Amino acid sequence: MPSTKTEFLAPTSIDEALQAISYEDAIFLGGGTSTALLYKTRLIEPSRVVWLGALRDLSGISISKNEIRIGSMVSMSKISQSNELSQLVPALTTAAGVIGNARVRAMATIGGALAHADPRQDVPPALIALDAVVATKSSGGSREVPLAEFYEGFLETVLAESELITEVKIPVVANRRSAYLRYTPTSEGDYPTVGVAASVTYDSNNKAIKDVRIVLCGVGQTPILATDSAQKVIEGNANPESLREAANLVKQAVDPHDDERGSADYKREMSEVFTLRALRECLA
Amino acid sequence: MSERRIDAVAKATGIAKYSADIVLEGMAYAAATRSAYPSAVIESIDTSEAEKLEGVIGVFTAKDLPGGNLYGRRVMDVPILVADRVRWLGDRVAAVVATTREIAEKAAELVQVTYKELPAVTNADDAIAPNPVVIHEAPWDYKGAVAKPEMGPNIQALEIHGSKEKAEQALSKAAHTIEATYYTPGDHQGYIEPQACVVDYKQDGSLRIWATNKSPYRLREQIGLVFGLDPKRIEIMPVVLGGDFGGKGAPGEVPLCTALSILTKRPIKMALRYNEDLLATDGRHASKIKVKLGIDKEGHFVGGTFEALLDGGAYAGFKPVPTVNLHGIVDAAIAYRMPEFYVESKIVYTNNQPKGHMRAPGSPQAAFAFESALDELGKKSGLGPIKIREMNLLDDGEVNAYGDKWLEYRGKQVLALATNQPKEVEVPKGWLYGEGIAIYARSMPAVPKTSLRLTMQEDGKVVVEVPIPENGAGGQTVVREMIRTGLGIESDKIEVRQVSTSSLPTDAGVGGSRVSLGVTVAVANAIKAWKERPAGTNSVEVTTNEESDGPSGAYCAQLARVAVDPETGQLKVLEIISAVDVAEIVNEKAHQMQIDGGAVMGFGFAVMEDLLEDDARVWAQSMGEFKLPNMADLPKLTTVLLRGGKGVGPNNIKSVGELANCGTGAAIANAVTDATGVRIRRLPIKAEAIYSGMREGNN
Repeated sequence: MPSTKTEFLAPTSIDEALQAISYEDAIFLGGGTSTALLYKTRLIEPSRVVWLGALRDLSGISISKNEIRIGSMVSMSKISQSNELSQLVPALTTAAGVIGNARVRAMATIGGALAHADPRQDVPPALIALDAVVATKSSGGSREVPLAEFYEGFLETVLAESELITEVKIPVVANRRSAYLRYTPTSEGDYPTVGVAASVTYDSNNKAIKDVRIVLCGVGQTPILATDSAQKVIEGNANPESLREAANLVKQAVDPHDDERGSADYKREMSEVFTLRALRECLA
Repeated sequence: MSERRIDAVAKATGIAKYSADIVLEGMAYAAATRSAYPSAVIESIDTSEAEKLEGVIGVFTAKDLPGGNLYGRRVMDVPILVADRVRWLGDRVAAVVATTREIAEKAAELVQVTYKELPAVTNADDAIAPNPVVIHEAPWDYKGAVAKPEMGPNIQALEIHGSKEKAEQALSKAAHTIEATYYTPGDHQGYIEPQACVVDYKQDGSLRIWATNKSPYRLREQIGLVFGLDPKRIEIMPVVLGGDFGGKGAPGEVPLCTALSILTKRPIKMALRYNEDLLATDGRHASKIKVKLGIDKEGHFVGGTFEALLDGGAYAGFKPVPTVNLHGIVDAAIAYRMPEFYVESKIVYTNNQPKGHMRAPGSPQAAFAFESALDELGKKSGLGPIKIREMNLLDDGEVNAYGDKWLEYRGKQVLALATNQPKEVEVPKGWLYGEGIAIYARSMPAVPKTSLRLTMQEDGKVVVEVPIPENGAGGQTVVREMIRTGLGIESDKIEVRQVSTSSLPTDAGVGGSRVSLGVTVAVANAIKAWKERPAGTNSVEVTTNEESDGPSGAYCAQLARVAVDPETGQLKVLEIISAVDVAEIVNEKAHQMQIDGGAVMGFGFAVMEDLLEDDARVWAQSMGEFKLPNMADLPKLTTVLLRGGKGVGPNNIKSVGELANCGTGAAIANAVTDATGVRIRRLPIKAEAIYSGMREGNN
C-alpha cells in the first residue's frame, strides 16, 4: 500500500536531478518497472520521486572503435533490438531481450536494472561478462566502477544515496564472443532458476584463448563471477574436457537457496548444465 | 457464422463500466485491517491512531455492526468483522472509511490489535489428526451447515457414495490393482479484475449494490439474510465483470460495505488490490486424493475407492451448493462402467484461506487423480492407456456408477478422435518425447431459472433485457444470436441490455456450465410469447420453468504431446488436443473460446499455478509470483469436434464451459511418464521433480 502523499519531480538536467535527490526518502525513477515492484512490496516508501525521463543526456547509445556507451535511461527493448550491439555484445542483447515481457522491456532501463540489484536479473551477468563499467555522478563528483565490483549484497550496491548512474561503458574487444542463457522451466515470464553469461576472448590469431568470463544470476545474493571456472577454460584452451571441468567447478562458486524456482541442490546442478551450454554457445 | 461479441467494443475502448469505475456522490472508501495471525484470540483493538489520520471518517469493529455478523453462500460461518478469534490471515478485524482509498488503506494499517496467538492448523491432514486444534467449536450450529457432531471436529462437509466394504471386497478379487495418492495445490481463479464493490444504503431502507458478482439474485438474498432486509428492496445494479472462472460468485466485500454504508450514511466503495485478492478471496481447494482401482483379467473395472481430503480453509461459507461439497470429486468415475465404487469427499476446516468455486469445482483435482491412476493401472496390467479406457467407457443404454442413464455416451468416439490426430509438432533435438491421454465427462445441468424481457421499440429496434451478468464468456452475445435467428432481425437492430435485479424476476447466476442452456430456453419462450402476444402489446416477459431433457452429458478426451530435456527435467508441452463431444453450437467462436481457454487453464493448473500456501500463509503475493500461463508458454492447441450429439433444450446443445480444463493435468502427467518413465503425482509438475525422478529411476 502506497503512502498517502508522494512528490513527483521531473528534472531536465543532471544538476537539477542531483539537487532534487538530496531530500529525505527521495528516489530516482527510470522506467518504473523495478521501482513499482519495490513500492508494492513496501521495500521503499519514497516521499519524493525524481523521474529521469526528461533528461535527454541519458538516453543515447554511442559506439566507437574502442567503446560502447549506453545511457542509463536506454530501454531494454532499444538495446535488444540494436543490430550493431547484437554483433558486438550478443550476451547483452540476448539478456535485454528476454526479461519480463514486451511491455516491461519497453519501459525498463539499463540504469534501473543495475541499481535494483535483484540477483535474479538477467542483464547484470551479461554486462559483467563483458567487463562493463558503471559511470556515476553525484554532488561530490563523478566516478567509474567496474560492474564486477558494483554489487555488495541482495538489493545492495556501492552507490551512495544520492548517486546517479549516468551511463554504462563496455569495451569493444577484438575476437570476443559472448552468450547469455537463462533457464526458466515454469514460465517464460518468470525470473530464471539460473542464468549464465559467458564471454571468450581469443588472441589476435583467433586461436589461443586469452580471457574467459563466466557470470551467473539467480544463484546467490549478487551476480556470481566464476573465476576458477574461467581459469580452467583458459588453461585447457576450451578443449571439451576443460569445459566440463569448468562447468563442474561452477557448483562450488554459486550459493543458491531453496525457493519455488528450485531447491538449492537443483539450482547448483542446473548451474553446471547451463554453464556448459553457455560456453559451447560462445565457442560454436 | 459467429456473431461479434457485443461487449467487445466497450471493453476495448474503456467505456465498459466495471464495479471499480462506479463513482457516486458523497461516496467514501473502505479498507480492512486483516488479521496478523492465522490463528489467534483478539485481546484488544485500538483504533485511536487510525481515527486521527486526516480524511478518516470512521473506524469500525465487530461491536459496531448494525446487523448480523455472519454471512455465507450456504453455510453462514464467515464473519464480516471478527469479534474474538481470528481463523486466517484474511480475517477482517477492523474497517476504515475515509475520503480516499489511499487514506483508508493507510489508516487500516494504523489500527493496533493485540493478539494472543493460538496454534494453527496449516494443512488438511492435521485438521483430522487425533486431538486436533479445533477451529470452530460447533460448526454444526451455523445456519446452512451440513457438519454434524458425530463427524468429529473440523469438518466442513462430508459426502459419501457407495459402500467401502463392497468396493474393497470387489478389489480383493481383481486381477490387477493400483493404489496411489495424488496431490494438487491451492489455486486462484486468475481473473484480471480484482474484486470490488460499491454499496449505497438509503435511509428508507433500500440498498443499491454494484459488485464483482455473477449471481445478483443470490447476492440479494444473502445480503437480505444478514441485515434483515427484504431482498426486493435490494437492487443489484448491472456491471461488467473482468473475468470470473468461478471466483465471482461469493459476496466478496459487499456484506462489510453494506454495514459501513448503513453506519456512515454514505455510499461506500471498496476495491481490493491484487495482492489482497490473492490473499483474501476464495480459490480452488488443495486436494489429497487416495485412489484404488482394480480390473479383472480382461481389463474391466471390478471396483474402486476414491477418498478425497480437501483443504476448505477457515470458513465453509464460500461453497454454494446444499451439500457444501464439490460435485467434481463425487463424479470422479462418471465416464466409466464401474460396478462397485466408493467415493468420499471430505472437506475440512484449517487456518488457511477459505476455498470456494473455481471452474468445474472439484473436477480438475478428481480427474488428475482418477485419470493418472487409470494410466498407472494400464501400464501395470499391460493393457496400455487407450485399451484400458476403451474397455471401460460406457456404451449407450448403460447406467453409470451414479444410477443415471444418459441419452448417449460418446467417450469411445472422442478417445479415438484425440488419439488419431497427425503428429505435427517438432521435438527439440535430444529431448524425450511422450504422449498422454485423459478423459473427462460432465453431466448436463438442469435448466436454470432465468428470465428475459423482449420489447419492440417504435423504430423497429428490439431491446432484450436480461438478468445475466457478462462474466467474459459471452452469454449476452448468445442471446442476440438467438433473437437474430429466431425473429429474423439483423444484429444491429437488437440491443441486449443487462438490467438490475429490480427489473426482472429471477436468475440463477452465471456458472455450472448452464448459461447457454438457460438462455436458449428463455429466448425460445420469449419468441413463442412474442409471436402469440395479444394485439397492441409491444413487450413480453418470460421465465424458465422447464424440465431438462436429460439426464445427459458431454465427454472431452485430451491428448498431450510433451518433450522433456533429459539433462534438466524441463518439460515443454508441445500440443494439447481436445476432442469434444458436441451437439449443435450456438456461437462457434464463443464455443471455441471455451475449449481453448479451458485447455490453457488446465495447462496452467498442470504445470505452474500454485498459491504457494505454506505455514497458513499465501506466499504468492503478486502476479509475478502467482504464475499464470502467458502466450509464450502456450502449447499448440488443437480442437477436434465430434458433432451430431444429442443435446438438450430447444437448440439441442451440450455444455462446454467446464470440459476442457479438467483432464489436462492428468494428460500432461501421463505424457511425462510416457516420455521419461517418471510418475508425477503432485501438481504443478516441476522440472525438478522430473529431474529427480529420472536420476532416481522412479517410475
